[in-house]
Amino acid sequence: MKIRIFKKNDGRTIYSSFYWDLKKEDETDLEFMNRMTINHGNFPDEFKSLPFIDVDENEVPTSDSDSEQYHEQIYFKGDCKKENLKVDKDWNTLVMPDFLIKKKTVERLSKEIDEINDPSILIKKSRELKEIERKEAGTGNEKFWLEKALEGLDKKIASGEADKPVVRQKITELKNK
Amino acid sequence: MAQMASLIAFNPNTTILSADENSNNTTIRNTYNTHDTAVNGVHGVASGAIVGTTLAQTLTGKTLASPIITTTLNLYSGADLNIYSDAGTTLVADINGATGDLSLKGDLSIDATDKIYFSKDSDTAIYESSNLVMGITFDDGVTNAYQFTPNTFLATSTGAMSLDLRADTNNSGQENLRVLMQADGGSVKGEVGIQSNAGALILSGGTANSTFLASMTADSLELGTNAVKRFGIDSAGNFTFNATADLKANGELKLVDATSPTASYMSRRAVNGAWVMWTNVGGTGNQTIDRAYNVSSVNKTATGTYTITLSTIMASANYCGFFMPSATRAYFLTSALAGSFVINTISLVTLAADDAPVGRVGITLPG
Repeated sequence: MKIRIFKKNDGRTIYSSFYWDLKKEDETDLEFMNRMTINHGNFPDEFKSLPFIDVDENEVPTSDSDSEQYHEQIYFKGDCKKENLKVDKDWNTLVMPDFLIKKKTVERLSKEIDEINDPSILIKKSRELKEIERKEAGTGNEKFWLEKALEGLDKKIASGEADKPVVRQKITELKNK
Repeated sequence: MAQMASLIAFNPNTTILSADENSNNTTIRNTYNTHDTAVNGVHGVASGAIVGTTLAQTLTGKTLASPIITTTLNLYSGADLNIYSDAGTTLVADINGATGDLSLKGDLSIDATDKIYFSKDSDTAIYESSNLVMGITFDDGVTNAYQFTPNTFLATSTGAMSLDLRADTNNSGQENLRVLMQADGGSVKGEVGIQSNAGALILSGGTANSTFLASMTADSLELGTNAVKRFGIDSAGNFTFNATADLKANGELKLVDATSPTASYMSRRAVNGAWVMWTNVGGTGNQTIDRAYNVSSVNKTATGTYTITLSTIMASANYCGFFMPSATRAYFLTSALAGSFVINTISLVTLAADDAPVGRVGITLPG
């Protein structure tokens, strides 16, 4: 089954699927997918101007959040070509989505709380965790989560892990927008 | 000559005439004594003969030049009856003496007001009058009309066959072409044809120059395949399908509400909405649409985030909708646009994306 993959401006993707029973007998796959997307009045205008490829769904990377392989990790490395479709498994190139930054921050704080012995610090960290949990992801709090992403990177470096300079630069650019 | 013999008695021993007269008399007498009897007599001196009694003569080898026959003429032959256009070389028609079959070597031309009768029934034939009408009735004149049997057909042994019916060939007016059918004494009628006469359409509410197939009485019209009814229109105009026939449309199936002519719906009041079901939302694989109505595409833009594009725009954005990422979990859609809408499970749940293997979305706009 073919799908159409649009390349967003940041290199990430939109996977478009179709109900193929609607395809007319005298219509090619290309004509059908065009009719359902770029030639369709209800297809979002912000998608119509994006470059795309048409591929078999079995030939491209898939996302599986249960296995922590997210849609946001699939991207075009360069031009919008099938061979350029990559998966950033370790988040070395792409910035995590807010909900994942939140998830990672909560995990990190929870782990830190487990290791704290000083009651005053424990109270402070617990308050911080509650605040993080209350903060919504993806609803106007983008800069807050970018800040948390930078904090997470700094913590990794402090613990001896390698930095992610590409991601760090992107986060900084996004923060300053 | 036989009558002459009964009127005059000749005595060969009596001499009452002159020598010349006697000579003539002798000639007459000799002629009389040597002629054949009336029944088997041969008349004429040229080739051929006329044989028979006084009232029934048989002509053999004789040529009749411009004969005038003032009473009923019976032509009969012991075998075939042949008609030639010349002295016996060019056969133009014949009647088989054994079967009665008539064979023509040329056209059969019927005058405008004349008919060809197929049976004892004189009501229906092929004829031409002010309107070209063709009808065929096989009737014994006594009981019911004969039915066509498997032996009654038009056929070609090889090649194609076409039945070509044409009306208004000179295109000078607006004449309909009609093939009329009826049964049960005319109480059941059907018709097929072209209604080209805008002023006299066959079907009420029909369209000029349209080809039509219709029941002309209060009986249903049915279409079938493989000797099974598949689809029909009953006398009230309702469309009926048999149990195994689906209604499929490669294009869009639209019912346009006159009160809202810019929008098309399956049914404005009952079903104004859309639904879609896809699999592999978050499983191993990309989403595949299994079933959909009024949905043209499902576009995954991020984890747990889908933009659903509708085939036909909603009358308003005031519809209610739900998203079921699993069989046991459902979310109501809180914001929507008329032409497309976004479902975002990230904003609905506290933490991780709700990327279940199956996605079900439905929206409906109350009428």
